[in-house]
Amino acid sequence: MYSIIILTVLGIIGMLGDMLPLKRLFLPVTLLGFALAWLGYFFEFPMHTSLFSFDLISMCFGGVMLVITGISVITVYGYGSFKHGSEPPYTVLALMIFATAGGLLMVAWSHLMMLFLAIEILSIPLYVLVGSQGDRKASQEASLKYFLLGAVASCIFLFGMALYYAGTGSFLLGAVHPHSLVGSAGVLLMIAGVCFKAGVVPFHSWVPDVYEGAPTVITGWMAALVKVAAFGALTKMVGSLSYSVWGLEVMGMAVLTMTLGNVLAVQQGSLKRLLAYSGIAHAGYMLLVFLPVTETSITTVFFYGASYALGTLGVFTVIHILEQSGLSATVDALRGLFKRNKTVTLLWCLSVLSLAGIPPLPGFFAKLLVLMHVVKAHHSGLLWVTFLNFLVGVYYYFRLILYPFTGGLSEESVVLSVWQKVGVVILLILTWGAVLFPEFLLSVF
Amino acid sequence: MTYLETIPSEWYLILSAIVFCIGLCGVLIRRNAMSVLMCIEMMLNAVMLLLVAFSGYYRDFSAQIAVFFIMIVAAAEVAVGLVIFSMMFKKTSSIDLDDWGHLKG
Repeated sequence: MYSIIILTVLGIIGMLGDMLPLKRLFLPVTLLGFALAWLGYFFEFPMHTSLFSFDLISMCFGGVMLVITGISVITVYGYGSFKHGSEPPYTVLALMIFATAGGLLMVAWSHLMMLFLAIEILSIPLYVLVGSQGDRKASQEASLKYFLLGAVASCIFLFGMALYYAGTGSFLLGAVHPHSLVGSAGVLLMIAGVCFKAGVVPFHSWVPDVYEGAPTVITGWMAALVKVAAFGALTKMVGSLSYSVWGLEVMGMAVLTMTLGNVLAVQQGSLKRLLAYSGIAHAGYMLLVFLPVTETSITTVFFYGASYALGTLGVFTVIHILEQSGLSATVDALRGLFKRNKTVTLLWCLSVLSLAGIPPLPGFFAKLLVLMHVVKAHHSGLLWVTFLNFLVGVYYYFRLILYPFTGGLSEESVVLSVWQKVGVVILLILTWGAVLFPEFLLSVF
Repeated sequence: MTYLETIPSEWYLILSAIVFCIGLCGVLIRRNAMSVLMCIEMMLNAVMLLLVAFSGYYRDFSAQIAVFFIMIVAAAEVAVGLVIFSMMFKKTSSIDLDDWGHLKG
C-alpha cells in the first residue's frame, strides 16, 4: 500500500508543479519517491487483505514498472514542454506517475473490483497522454481511438466480472471454481479485457495507430509499462483459474498474435508502426508461457517482460532523438546514424538485437525460456510455429540493425540534451547489467 | 422471500445480456461520437443491473458497492472522453468518427 500512496502523493505534487516553489527539486524528489515506493514493498511484505495482496509478483513487476517510469520521467523532464516551451511538462509527468500507480495496483490485487479500478487508473491517464500533442492531428486521432476502444474493452471486462459474480457469488479468483457456463463465460471475457491492454490479436487494432499517433517519448514508456502491467495481471489471473476454461482460447490467441504481428511488421516503413506490430508479436510469445501454467511460468514472463521493456525503452529513446534532429520516424531515417552519433547507435543496436533475441543479450534468454517452456509442454506444432516466428522476427530486426551503417540522408551529428544523455547512459548500463548478471532477474522467483 | 426473488435470476441475466449487446452493436454501428459514448454507458448499465440483481440473490453487499465504484469510474471516463471530443470538434467542426480515419497500415 505504501508504494501506491507515495506515487499518488507524487502525482498530486506534479499536478501542482507549475505553482510550487523550488521547482528544481521536482526531479530529485520524484526519483527519490520512486525508490521509496519500491522500498515500501519490503516494509509490508507479504501483505494479504481481502482487496490487495502485495506478494513477490507485485514486488518484482512493480519494481520493473518503477524503473521504466523513472527512466522515462528523466527523458520527458529533459524534453521540455511538448509545445516547445522551456518549462518541464509537469502535468504530463504527473499523469505518468498516476498511470504507474495504476500499473502497480494491477499486479497487487486480490479482489476483481480492484483489478478493474487498477486498469482504469492506468488507462485514463494514458488516453490523455496519447493525445497530449494537441497540435498534431495524428495524436488526437490516436487518443480518440484508444479512448473508444479502451472504454469498450473495460465494459467487456466488467461484464465478464459481473458474469463471474453471477456464476460464483464471489469477486475472488480461485476461491470458487466456475463450473457453470455463466462463470466460465465471465472468465473468458475478463481475460479478453486484460488481453486488450496487452495488445493481443484479435484485440490489437488500436496498437499501431496509438503507437504512431502518441508523442514518441510517451509511446516507448507506455509500450513497456502497459505490457508489463497487463502480463503481471494475467499471471495473477490465470494461475488461479482452471486451465480447461481458458487454455484452448489462449493458445489460439497466442498463435494468431505472434504470426499476425510478425507478418504485418515485415513490410512496415514507419518505425513506430513496425515496433507496434513487433510488440504485438512479443505479446504472443509471452502468452505461450501460460500454456500451461507451471512453476517456471512466472520467472519466464517476468524475465521476458523486463527484457522487452528495456529493449523497447532503448529503441523509442533513439527514435525520439532522431525525431528531434529533424527526421520523421521512418526506417530510412536510420541511415547514417553511425556517423552521426556513436553512443546512440550503440544503444540502438543493443536494444534491437535484444528484441530480436540474439545472444548474449537478455532478449535471447527470454526467448530461450519461452521455447523451453513450449518444449516441456509437448506441443510440437506450437514449437514449430514459435520457431518460425522467431526467424521472421530476426529478419525484420536485422534490417533495422544494418541501416545505421549505410550512407546517410544527413551528415550533421546528433546532439543530445543533458537529461537525454543521462537516460541513454542508464539504459546502456541496465542492458549491460542484464547481459552480465541475468541470474539476478532469473532467480527471484 | 423478497419481491426481487419473485423474478427468476436467469431473467436478469438475459435482460442484461440483451442490453449489453444492444450497446455493443450501437458502438459498432453509430458514427456519431456522442452516440457511441452513450452506447458505452448502456453497456455499463447492463453490468450494473446484473451486479445489483445478483447481489440481491446472494444477499451480499459487495456487488452493490462495486456498482458505486463503476459509476465513479464511468464519470471519470466520460469527462476524459468529452475533452477528447471537444478537441476533435475544434479541429474539424464535426464529431463524426468517419472524419478520423487517417492512421492506417
